[in-house]
Amino acid sequence: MSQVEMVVNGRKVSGTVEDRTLLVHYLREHLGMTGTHVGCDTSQCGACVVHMDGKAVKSCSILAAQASGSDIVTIEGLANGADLHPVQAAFREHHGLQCGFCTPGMIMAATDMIARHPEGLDEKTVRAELEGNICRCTGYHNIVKAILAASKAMGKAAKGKTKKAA
Amino acid sequence: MVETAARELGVSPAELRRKNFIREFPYQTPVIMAYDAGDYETSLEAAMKEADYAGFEKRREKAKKQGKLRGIGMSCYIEACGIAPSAAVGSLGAGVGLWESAEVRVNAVGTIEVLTGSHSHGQGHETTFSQIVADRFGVPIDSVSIVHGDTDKVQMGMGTYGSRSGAVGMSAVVKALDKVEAKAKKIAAHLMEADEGDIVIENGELKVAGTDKSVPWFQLALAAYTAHNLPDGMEPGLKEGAFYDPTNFTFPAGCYICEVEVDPDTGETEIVQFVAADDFGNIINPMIVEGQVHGGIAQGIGQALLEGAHYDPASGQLLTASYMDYTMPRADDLPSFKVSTSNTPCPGNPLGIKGCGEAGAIGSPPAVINAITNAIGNNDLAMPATAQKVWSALKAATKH
Amino acid sequence: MGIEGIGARVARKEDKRFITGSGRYVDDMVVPGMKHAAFVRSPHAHADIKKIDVKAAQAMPGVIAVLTGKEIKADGIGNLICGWMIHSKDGSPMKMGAWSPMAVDRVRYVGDAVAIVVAETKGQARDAAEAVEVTYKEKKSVADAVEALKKGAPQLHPEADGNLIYDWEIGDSAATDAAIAKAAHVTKMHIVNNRLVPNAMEPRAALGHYDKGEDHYTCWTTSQNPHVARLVMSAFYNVAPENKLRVIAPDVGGGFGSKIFIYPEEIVCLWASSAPASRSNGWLTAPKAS
Repeated sequence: MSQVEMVVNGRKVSGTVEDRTLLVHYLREHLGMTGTHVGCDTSQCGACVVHMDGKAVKSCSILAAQASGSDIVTIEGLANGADLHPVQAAFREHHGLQCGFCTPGMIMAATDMIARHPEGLDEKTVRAELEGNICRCTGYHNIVKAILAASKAMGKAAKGKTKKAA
Repeated sequence: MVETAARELGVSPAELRRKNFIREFPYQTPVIMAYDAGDYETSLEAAMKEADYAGFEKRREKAKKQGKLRGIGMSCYIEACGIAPSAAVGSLGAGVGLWESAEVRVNAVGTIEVLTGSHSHGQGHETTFSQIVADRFGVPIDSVSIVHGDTDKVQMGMGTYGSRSGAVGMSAVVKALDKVEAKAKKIAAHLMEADEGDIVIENGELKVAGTDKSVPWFQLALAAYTAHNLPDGMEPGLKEGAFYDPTNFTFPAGCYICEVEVDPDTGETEIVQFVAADDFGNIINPMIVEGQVHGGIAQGIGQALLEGAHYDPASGQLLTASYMDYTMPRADDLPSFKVSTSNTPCPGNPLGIKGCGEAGAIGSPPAVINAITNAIGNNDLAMPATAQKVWSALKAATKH
Repeated sequence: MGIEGIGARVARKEDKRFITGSGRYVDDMVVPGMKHAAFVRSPHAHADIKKIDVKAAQAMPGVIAVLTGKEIKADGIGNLICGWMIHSKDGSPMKMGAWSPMAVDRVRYVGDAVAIVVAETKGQARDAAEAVEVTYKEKKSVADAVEALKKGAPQLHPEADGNLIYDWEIGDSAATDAAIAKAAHVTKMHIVNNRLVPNAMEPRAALGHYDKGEDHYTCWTTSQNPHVARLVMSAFYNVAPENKLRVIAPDVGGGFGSKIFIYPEEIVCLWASSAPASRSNGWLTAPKAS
């Protein structure tokens, strides 16, 4: 058994888990946060993507014990209260989801992607970097559109902030 | 098949299709289906225009200079959806009837619950079914809730597949709405001392046409449930149910054009353009319909290029048992799609809907394969057209 | 059409829960007293089951019950059905082989379920499933439809001689031949539709509940048609009469036709929730069919 302690969506959590417990199972089964999904058991589908210390990771390929001491953000913690995160809003506006199962992983992967490309994104980059997330409903068309729109909106917002600061 | 015939005959694939289009409806096929409405030429022309079919040879030349083999392929499809008339499928061996049920419950304060036997698993019924109610009564979609997927709530239903929720499920909702509307108008006429035939429903109000008399929707609902002042003999409440059994299948049709570039050294295929022009009849929500087509095209391209379930012949083991081995289309395998629709309303159901869930997956595989075979000059190419198969087919073609 | 009426490009009402991680799929369901199930599956495509030894598994920590095909059959649970009865050209009904929700004496595909283990936790159920010892006598198999019809191919189901379940056609073959004979040009092609897997992103899952006081069952399943599931589970698998069985398909992560059908695991889970050897009033879930 392992003792784990981490911060999930800003809240300190701790517990005792079997050594083999994966981070995704810790989130879903121990903390009851079922927004993060399991769509395969070969780390291919990406439905389980969360942020660990600010980076997108597949929570099915990390042991809960490995994640001990880290700062985790899941889909449940992305919005600021009632205000949707710009990526969430863009997915809704551009119909970037249908059945919703891959959506949490897509949104978490997309926010990470946008953060890593402050210079902005083009379609080719978005498609290449989405390679680790599978969607069977949308054909990716509107997911790509939503990510590009969110990246643009967030770039503008960031510029606005810098101006204000200046 | 048609593309290959055109190549053998040395005529334009578009012309051969045009020549063979059915133009008179209804058209009884020899295999049960009777096509009810369609305009296949309009889809063909829309797709050719969007794809700049005429300019293809120039693009082929340009690609050639860059060492790539460019090909264009087309497919015109028609499918039987909106399944299905219960007696017809019964004659084919189905164990169930393929009607659908609905119930419309207007609550005492005017909010509405629609119970449907259709099941939404990505199709967006909570939105589109609400839109039908909003359209009919002028109430906001947020005051409408769609209830589905629970046998304790909805009595019976046949579910969602075969592009049937619009054509069959929504038709049942329309039938129930007709009954609700008729009763609501009777109550409104009684309350406003007007003739039932003069009542119109607009912007969430029941009005006496040509006057300024009106009753808001919520007040009408309340009147139905307080039952203090209803027409003589009328039962209280405002709730109606309906079963709808279609009289025919529906027949979405369209034209898909795919353009590819093949790397002759590796056999790798890149889809450089994909155009879909569909006729789905009337559309409730174009955003959702486009999404359905996008997803279908991706699955069709998956079939044409990537996907295949393989068993080991000796042991019977499924070799493609996980996403490690079964190639799902990923974002970087696909382009963005150019989709459009035209409309010949379906005469068989009250909303004129044909259905759009499966079209993309039906029209795209032949378009993709036709494009590759056009690029490599060999019609003998099996799906999935992996790089290895394309490369081998190309080698075989150049040997001759 | 109005801003929200027919033809309007309205953003979806359902999106809010999906983009915030608040969707509720079968595997997200948690209920008091819930137990977990894991299936023991055949590693062979075609084999006789000689013996199933459950003793070691039963003794493992947290294990509540280990149930096999013999027990589900003895309990009167019916074989799986096909929703579409095809008649061959000669008018004879199709010859579907008997398919028990758990194999009784023969397995016919890799992954055919032979036993279910019910335990307190998912991990315990999986560990114990690995401890179930099944002795098989392997038989020759065939996994390709064309090969299966060839002379000398292994006979798979006793009901379908030569592995031919039906021989069906529709239309007028004489008129078709005549039209081809008259045609100015004939194009011949050999087309094989490659075998695909729908692969909805949400894997299959089932949760069965038996309420002893009411003698009532509830099944949460990832289905495209929960009502047909109830009808079939009731009328053909004899799990419970319709008025004592509720089927719920909550948020469903895609279907693509694969979730029209009622699969063995759903029936077994529902049955096991009340099976004599299982703890009464227990909840079961088989979160993933893997």
